[in-house]
Formats: sequence, C-alpha cells, structure tokens
Amino acid sequence: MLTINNLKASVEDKEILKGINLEVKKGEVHAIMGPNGSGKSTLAAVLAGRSDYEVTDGTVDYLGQNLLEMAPEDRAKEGIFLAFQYPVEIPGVNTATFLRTSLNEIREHRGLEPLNGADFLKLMKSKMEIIDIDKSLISRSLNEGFSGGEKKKAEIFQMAMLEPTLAILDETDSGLDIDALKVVAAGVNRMKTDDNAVIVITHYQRLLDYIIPDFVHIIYDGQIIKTGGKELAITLEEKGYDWITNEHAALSNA
Amino acid sequence: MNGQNEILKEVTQQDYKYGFVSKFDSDKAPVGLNEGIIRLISSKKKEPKWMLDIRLKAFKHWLTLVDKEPNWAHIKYPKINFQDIIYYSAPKKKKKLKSLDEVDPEMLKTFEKLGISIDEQKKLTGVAVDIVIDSVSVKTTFKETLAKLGIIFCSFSEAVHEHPELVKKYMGSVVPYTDNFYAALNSAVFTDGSFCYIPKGVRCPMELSTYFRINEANTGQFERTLLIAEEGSYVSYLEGCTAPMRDENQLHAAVVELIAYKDAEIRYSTVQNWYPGDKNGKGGIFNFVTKRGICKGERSKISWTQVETGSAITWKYPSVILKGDYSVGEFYSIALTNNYQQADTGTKMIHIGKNTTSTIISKGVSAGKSNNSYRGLVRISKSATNARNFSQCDSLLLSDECGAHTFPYIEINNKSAIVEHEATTSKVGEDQIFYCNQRGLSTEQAISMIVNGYCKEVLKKLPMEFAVEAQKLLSLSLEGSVG
Amino acid sequence: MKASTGKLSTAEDFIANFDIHQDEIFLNNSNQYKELRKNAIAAFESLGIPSRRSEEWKYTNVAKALNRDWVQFPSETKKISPDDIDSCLIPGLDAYTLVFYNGKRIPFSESDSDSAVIKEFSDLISSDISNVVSLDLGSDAFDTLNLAFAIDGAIINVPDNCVLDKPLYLLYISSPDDNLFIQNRNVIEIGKNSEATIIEARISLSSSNDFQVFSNNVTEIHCENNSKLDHYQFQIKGQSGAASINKYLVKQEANSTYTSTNINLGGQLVRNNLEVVHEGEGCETNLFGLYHLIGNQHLDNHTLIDHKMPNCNSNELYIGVLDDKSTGVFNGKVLVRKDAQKTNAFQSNKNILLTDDAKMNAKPQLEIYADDVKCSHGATTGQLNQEALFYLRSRGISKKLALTMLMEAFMKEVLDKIKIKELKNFLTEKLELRLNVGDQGR
Repeated sequence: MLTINNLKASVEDKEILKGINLEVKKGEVHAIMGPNGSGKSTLAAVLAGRSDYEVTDGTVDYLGQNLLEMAPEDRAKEGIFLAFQYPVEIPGVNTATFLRTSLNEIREHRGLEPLNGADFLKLMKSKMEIIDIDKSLISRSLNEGFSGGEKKKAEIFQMAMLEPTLAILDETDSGLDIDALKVVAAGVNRMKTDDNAVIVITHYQRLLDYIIPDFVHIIYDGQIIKTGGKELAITLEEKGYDWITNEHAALSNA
Repeated sequence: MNGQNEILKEVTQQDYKYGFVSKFDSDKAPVGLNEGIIRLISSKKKEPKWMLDIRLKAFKHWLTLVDKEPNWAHIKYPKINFQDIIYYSAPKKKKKLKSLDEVDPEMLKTFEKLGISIDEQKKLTGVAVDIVIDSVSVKTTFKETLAKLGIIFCSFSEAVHEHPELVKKYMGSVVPYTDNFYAALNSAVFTDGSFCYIPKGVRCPMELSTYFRINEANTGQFERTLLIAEEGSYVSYLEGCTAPMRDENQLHAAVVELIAYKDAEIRYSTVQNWYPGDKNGKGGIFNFVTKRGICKGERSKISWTQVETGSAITWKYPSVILKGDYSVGEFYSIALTNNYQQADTGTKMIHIGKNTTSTIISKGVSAGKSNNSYRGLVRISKSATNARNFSQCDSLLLSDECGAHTFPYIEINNKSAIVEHEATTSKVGEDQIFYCNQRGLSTEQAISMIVNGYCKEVLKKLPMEFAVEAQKLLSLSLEGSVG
Repeated sequence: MKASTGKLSTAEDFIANFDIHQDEIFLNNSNQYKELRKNAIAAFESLGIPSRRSEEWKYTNVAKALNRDWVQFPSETKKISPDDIDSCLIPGLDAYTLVFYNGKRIPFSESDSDSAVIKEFSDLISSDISNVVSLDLGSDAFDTLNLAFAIDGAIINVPDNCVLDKPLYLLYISSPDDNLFIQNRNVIEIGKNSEATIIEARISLSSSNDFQVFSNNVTEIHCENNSKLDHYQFQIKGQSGAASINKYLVKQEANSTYTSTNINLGGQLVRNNLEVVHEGEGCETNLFGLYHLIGNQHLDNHTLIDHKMPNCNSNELYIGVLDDKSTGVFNGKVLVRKDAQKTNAFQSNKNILLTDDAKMNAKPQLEIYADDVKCSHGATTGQLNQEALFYLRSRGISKKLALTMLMEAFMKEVLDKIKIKELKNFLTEKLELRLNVGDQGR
C-alpha cells in the first residue's frame, strides 16, 4: 500500500528526515516510536503533504501513485488520514458542516453520491456512539475551545466518519487519560479491517497495549534504526531510549 | 479620588529641579535669521565652502516653506517668530582643553547639579561623553580609546573638518533638508552635534553618550547627529537632555540620522527632560525633532528607546526605514506629560525589504492638564514580502483634566504582511492605589510605583545606568502630579 | 426643465447648478429651509471639494471620481421595470418598503404609504425645521452639498411608545448609463421607548465602465430616550460603476441603543461616514461592518463615536476581505470627552489581504479626555491561517473550497450580528456567490 524509499526532508535547510525506508501493507498496524525530535511527526506531516517541509530525496509510493506529487486534499481523497498531534482551532467553521463537506468531497472522489442531511446525521450519530464523543462538540466551531482530550477524540471521530485507507495517528495518545486512551484505541480497533492500514506514531508504549502493532519501528535522528515486533516496544519501555540510541551509536562507531 | 488629585497636584507643582542658569561668557549671533546669519555661523565655525553651500540651499528651501509649518499634530502653541531667535551661541573658548581639569569649573558645577558629573561618569560607568552646551561641543572624552578601534566619535563640526568625505556622503541621506519644515531649518542653521562612525566588524565597547543642554536664554538649539554603523558593527548611543528654567519658550529642532549596514546594529536611547514650563504652562522648550534611521543592509537593526518627560511641546517621531531584507526596527517609548505639557510622539516603520520586522511599544502617561498623543505609521510596501509588525500603544491617565490619544496609521500593500496594532487607555486603578495604601505606601509612592511598573517593558530596554536615571526622572516628573 | 451636464469637480460647478435650478430646489420650501439651503451652499463654497491633502480624505481620491460629466438635474431617466425592483427585494422579508429610483421616491405598494411612520419629504422642507434638521453646518463639504440640493428622501417618524411590527425597507436603486449625480436626505426619528428596525439597501444596476452614477446621501437619525434602533445598511452590485458617499449622523438620547450593521459588497468607490453622538447617559452603540472587495473597488469606512456623556458603552467591529486590486480604508475614531466618565469603548478592525495588489489603510484612533474610562482598539491585517488551510485540505477539501470556508468563517463574526433571518440569508447568499466565483468569473 505504502512504500517509502530513502525519504529525506528538511525544514528551513535543516535536514530532519535522513533516509526513511518503510513498507506498509494492507491489513497491517505499524508503530513508529522515537525520542523527541527524532523526526516522527515530520514523517507524518510529509506523508500528509504539509508544505513547510521540503522533500529533498527519496520516493513515496501509495497505491501505485507518486504520493509526493499530490496535493494534500488529493491525498485525503485517496484515503490518507492524519490525526493531528495539535488539531488547529478554526473559529467560525462549524464542525458538522466541515465534516459533511469533507465527507462528500471524498465520496465524490470515490464515485459515491453525496450524503443528504438526514443520512449524514444518521451516520454521524452511529459513529459518535463508537467514539463516545460529546454531542455538543459537533455543533461548535471546529476544535475551538475543545479540551486536549476532546480534540483528540474529535480527530478519531473524524477518522471514523471518513473511513480512511491509511490512517496516521500522530501522538494521538499524548494528553489523554487512561479512560480516553481506551476509548480512542477501541475506536481505532473497530475501524481496522483487512483492507486498511494504520501507522501509530507515539512516544510511549502504553497506547500499544490497546492497539496491537504488527511492527514496531524505532526512529532516531531521522532514520529508522530498528524494526521488530510488538515486543520491541515493551523492551524499549523497560530499557528506555538510551538503550537503543547507545546501541545505535556503538554500531555506527564500529 | 479628590485626595489623590491633591497629591498629584502637589507633586506636579514641584519646581523644576534643573532650573538654574550657569554663568559663563558666550559668543552669540544677533537675533534673527537671514543669509547673513547663516554665513556668520558658517564662518564662526570656519566651515569649508561645501558646507556653507548646503546650508544656503537648505535655507533657500526653508524660505519657500515659511508659514507652512506642519499643523497636523495634536498640539497647540503660539506662532513661533523665527526672526526672534538667536541661532548661534557658543561658550567662549579660552583654549583647547586637554583634560577635565581644564573645563570651566562653572560648567562642571552645572553637570554636578544635573547629577551627571562627567567625573563620576568617567570613573564609574566608562561612558564616553561628548558634551554639547549651547550647540558647541566642548570636550570629548575617551576619544583615544575609541580611536584605537577606528571608531570616530566627535563633534559634528570636527567631522566636517576632519572627515569631510563621510559627512558629504551621509549628511542628508536619511533626512534630506526637503523632508520637512524643521529639517530644512536645521540644515540651514545647525550649530553642532555629534558624529559617530563605527567601522566594519567593530563592536563599540562602551555606551557612547552626549548630554545636550540648552543654556543661553532665547537660543535655539539646532543639533545635528549623524551615526554610521558599517557592516557587522554594533553601537549603543545615549542621548540625554536637560535645560535650565527660562520664561520664554526655547525652540529645539534637531535632526538625527542613523545608517546601519548589513548585520549592523544601532541602539539609540534618549532621555529627555528639558524644562517643561511651570505649573501654569509658562515657558518650556518646544522640541521639534526629526529622527530617522535606515536599515540599509540585510539583517541590520535599529532600535530607538526614548523616555520623554520634558519639554512644553514634543513633536518627535524616531523612525526606521527597513530597506535591507530581514532588517529589524524597534521603537520603545515612554512619554510622560504633566501640567500643560503637550506631546505628539510616535514612530514610522517603513517596510521595504523582505522579511522585515518591526516592534512598537509605546507607553503614554498623562497627568495634570496635559495632552499626550501617540502618532505612528506602519507602512508595508508592495516589495516587503513577509513583513511583520506588532504595535502596542497604551495610555495611562492620572487626572480627569488630561488627554490621551492614539493615532495609528496602518498602510498595507502586501498580502503576506501580518500587522497587529493594539491600544488601551485606562486610569490608575483606585483598587491598586488602595492596596498599596493599605500596605503603608503613600498615594504618591503608589502611583510612582504603578507608573514605573507600567513602563517597565520600555525601561528594561534602556542601558543599565540610563534606566536608573529614567526611573528617577519618572518619579520626579510625577511628583506633585499625583491626583 | 433643461438638464445640465458637466463636470462637478469644483465647488463653482455646483454653485452654478444651484443658481440655475433654484426653482426646483426651492419648490415648496419654507422660508427657513430656503435660508438653510443658501447657508449650506455658502458653507460648501468655502469648504470646497476635499483633496487628499485633507486628513479626512487622505486615502480616498473623491475629486477624481467627480471629474467627469455628471447630470445633476435630469429631465427624465430610463424607466425601471418591475422585474428590476423585484430583483432588489429580500426574498421572504415582510417589510414596509419605500423605493427610491435615481433619487426620487416611486410608488411601490399602497399599504406601505399608509403606514403612519412614513412621512413625505415635502413635510420636512415646508415645515419649521429648526427641531428636525441639524443646523450645525459643520465642516463636511458633502453634507452641506447635500443639504443645499437634496429634494427627496425618506422621512420616518416612529412616535413615542411604539414598537414597529415589521422592518422598514428603504431601497435606493440607481440606473445605469445616465451619469446621474444623486442626493437624498433622510431623517429618521425614533420616539421615546420605541423600537424599530430599518434596512437600507443601495443597489446600483450599472454593470460596466467607470462611474456611471454618483450618489451623495445624508441620513439624520435621532434616537429618543430609551429607544432602540437596529439599522442595517448594505450595498451590492455596481462594483464597477457606482460611487457613493453615505453620511449617517446619529444622535442618541439617554438609555437609547443604536446598532448599525453595514455590509459592503458593491460600489466602485464608497465612502461611509458614520457619526454617533451621545446626548444622554446610559447609551449603547454598536457599530458592525463587513466588506468583501474585488476588482478595483475602493471602500472607505469612517466612524466617529462621540462620547459626550457618562456611563455609555460603545462597541465596534469591522471585518474585511480584500481581493484583486481593491483598496480598503478604516478610519475609526473614539472620542471620549471630559465629562464622559465611566465610558467603555471597544473597537476592532480585522482585515485579510488576498493579493499583493490589494491595499488596506487603517487608522483606528482614540482621543480621550476623561480618566475613568476603559477604552481599547485593535487593528490587524494578515492572511488566512495557513495551518487551518492545511488541516481542511488534509481532510479532502479542495484548496479553493477551503479558502472559501475560511473566509466565510472570518466574516461570520459580523454576519452573525444580523438578527433578521431573511436578510442574513440573502446577504450570506450574495457573499457566497462572490466567494465562489473565485478567480474565474470576474
């Protein structure tokens, strides 16, 4: 589904990604872990098409298309969904109106009829139950005045609505208490099918107790330096990032 | 509130601490202004012909402006009779002075009374002082130290003689004589001022300072300052002004030009406490100043900081032309007016280069029957992609008879600009004063403290030794004004 | 009556017309009104047409717009079709409607003329006017010009203790191609304890070429004690043919509330002067403005809130989006006089520039002579939030639609101030149409 080959990207002339290689097949859950500043969020932003980052080298193939050449909205229409680490507040844009516009744009791209108001409401209601999101949030301006937890839940709710092919969760667990974390994880698990894939970006292992990854990648200084199964996350949690970075240093020095 | 008014009055009514007249002989031109006077000034100063030509050209231009004095400012004053002013007055020089000991003791006493003894300055702070009394620079200290670094710091007249190529190149390049009425007048009759040149890559090791002082009754003071910072250099320049008490209004029309090349930084700080007139609005200085700097090169920076507590009328807009890409302009100002003082001051930030940034922080404090206006222009030219400006203009009112005004002009011609202007006007909170009272502070102390706190953002931009003086000045200017 | 055609670029041009058309101007005038007109034209003569050297006209070149052939007293103008009038009505809105076509009131609906609050213009000019029209000629050239010449306008008088059951719709339509110079003078009085809603529409049917109609209008509004007026003004169409100067002089008595909501989408050169003065304590003033400018449109909003009395509040919010080569000016002044203690005054102006050829000049001013006040103003100019734009796009929304959504969201703050549903829908639709046309259709 997604093949990243030697991806390099920089912001304001500073290289952040220094050659990322990653392959994600349908039905898989990948976790990307790493210390602060290692390039985790940059990778998510580059995949979603944020223009602040300049891709200097490498390729990204998504469902047979050159992802890097696509506009952010076209990526979304093709099924890429980024759950933002810091969802932006947009005063004056009603959440429901926004979601309906978004959904219908994506449906149109998939050759589906746009949803009418009633069907949209019905769909929204069913998805809201999954995420256990406060109804009043829907009638407010997009993310405006939402608490940190509400924002994260709203992101997962949007994901449930848009049914992406590839979902990228950028530190969705940060700022969530354990109950909210469980709700979010349950939401993600319910959406998981054999035809879609999830990339979970996280600093801590605890989310991975609830969303079980098939692969865990450790990113450090802009490169994936170790890949393993779900047990890698547990080892990492026990030994800390120093373990892996020291090991990496030792290897590079050797 | 009434009690407060009483105290405010008491504080403002205190006499001007710096009101005294030093007695030393001076060499004066006759009253009035004509070509003859200009030739006289020029010949007194033994100027070369090119300098005289500039003066005459400016004078010719000024004649076309007579009766076209600027009138847009929010100030009121009787019409100035420009033929009723003495345009030149110099303390009679007895001989060239080698050290402070040789300076007229009377003059040294004057400085002592001002609380700015050169001696003390020299020993304690290492400030190089270029003293200007009634328009002629008497003595420049620390010159030699500076000379070793290639820094030129001297009187303007000296620069005309010794560095004519620099003066010719830069004088009028930022403020041409055609700029405005007072700039034309200054260019015609300026008597002296300071000149400063910082060579490439040199960081001036000390604060450069000039103390201006208007001394002779009825003498117009027409200073001219020119400061050039070459590529990668840095200089911090302090200008302090005091003037003795006089009954007639004295006119001051200075011109200051700053030029910053690539990566250079100029910090220009002013503390102005010229005689503001008495509590009935009699006397005081009229201060009509044109100050402007240009950030010529990339990443150059010009920062104006001013504390204005003096003068009967202040008309002053230290400005920055942001020509170099990534250049930075700053304006930090405190203007405190009391009794019948009027201040119309602010800045102009002209963004031309890309990614240029400007910051304006203005704090106005009005007491008594004074009027205090902020007037500022932020212009984002079409070429100034990604320009940023933030302006904050706050006014504090200390009496119910004063006025506080904000007149910002914002002109945006580029879509990528982000410009924010905020202004607030409020009075000193009675609850704040009460709180201080309850903790044992007098109302006067409380207000002084609150005002100082209110001005902190700007005060902290001043060099250390200046900040202390400025703080004292604020309290002093407020004395008796509390109410 | 002969039509005089000519440039109106100097005061003399107008004075000449005043002399030639005295019969028409003085028709049915009381002696006092005649005197008033004569004084006005004399005042205008000494003031002259303001140039850009005048501080109040620094950013708007009105002389240029006047410098072409105008017809001030047309013999007849193109007829207006019922369809044209219908196109200017607000769908679904039930209102007392007055229609002015090229400056002259035309019959619209019989029932409406019966409404007791609508008076005839002749009532004004034939009566003792001293207590109706402000006699202070002031220093505004266009105000004096209007006073001298205006021979028609809406005269509204809501009596004391009366809540008007439906809005008044004042519709000013101008025709294309006649090069008319139009002046209306309106006087609106809201009696003690009364409430009314007035919607004022300025619609120019002109569509192409530069300046085909120039209107100079003055509206005097008097809100009596404890009264409430919701005053909406909007201008649509004519973005490349109509110039207008609209002055509103609002006098508020004690405990009255005046709310003005000005939506500007049309007109090639528009200058709005809105001056509100508090004559009594406890007044509340809300001034809201919204503009979306395209092409070569030039809009200059001048507001003045004169806080003369204690315990009054004012609240001002002007929001605009400037596209293409348009120019916006916001000049808002809050004046707090010596006696106006306990004043709260807030002012905000927010702009977004969409192109490098668009210009915004803002001059928010505070002039304060009382100390126990809370006043603030803010002015910002910037771009749409790029972060928000990316967020929307990452959810599959096209860049164009995302931009439209963000612009609408930005302008919503003022649109939401419109309390009449039909009007809000009507204007929202007009606005959306403009936003959706995007770069293509203009």
